[in-house]
Amino acid sequence: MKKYKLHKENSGQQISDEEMMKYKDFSRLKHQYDTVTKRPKKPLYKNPYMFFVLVLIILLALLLAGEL
Amino acid sequence: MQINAAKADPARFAVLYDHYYKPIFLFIHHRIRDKQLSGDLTAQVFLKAMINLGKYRDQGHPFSSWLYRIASNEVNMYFRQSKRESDIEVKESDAVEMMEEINELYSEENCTLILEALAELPEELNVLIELRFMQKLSFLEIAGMYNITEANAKMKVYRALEKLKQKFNERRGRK
Repeated sequence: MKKYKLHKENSGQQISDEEMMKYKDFSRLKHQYDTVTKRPKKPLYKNPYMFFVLVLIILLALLLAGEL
Repeated sequence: MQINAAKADPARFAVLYDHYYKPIFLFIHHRIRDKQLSGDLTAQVFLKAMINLGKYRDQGHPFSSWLYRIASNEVNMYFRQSKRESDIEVKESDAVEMMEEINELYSEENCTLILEALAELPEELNVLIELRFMQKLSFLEIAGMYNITEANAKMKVYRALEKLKQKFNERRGRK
């Protein structure tokens, strides 16, 4: 349940424009946006082409390990 | 126009960010009363707005309504997750305005009674009173938050005030 408390003018926790602007940072926001939106949607192994490449790398590694 | 530009190029969201940063920060700070946390939640609101801007459709409400709706959801989510109680500071001038709306005269005792009555109201009603009298949102902005018409928003706020008056009188009768 909410509680409402009365506070007399200028006695409460007021915030100045300067204090507010300390938290304002569009370049950080844009960076977060880019991180969220540009990350690959699917894991590599779910992409058929990348899956084939991964299998090929594993086979090659096994072959090389067998020869050594 | 700025919204369409931001939809096409996220870098142009900066104009909207500059314009709405302060009202959204204050909206959150009014509920949270913590500067750092308000800053974090404001960033979260704008990040969500940027990500979902493509889904935004202009339905005749101010763009700020859409941002206030995201902010309100973020604040509610914060209180649910942190299991913290919501303590809201009410300016004396806002309490006076509420009292005038329910035709009551200002006194310290009435002030206490009105805040107790407000806390007793169901959440959906006290939120409407907060938006109108503490956050100072216009009826059009409130309408946008609830996706209703401006006339409907006015009606809802006045019904909430009627309930507030009823609770206020009940409390006064008990004392």
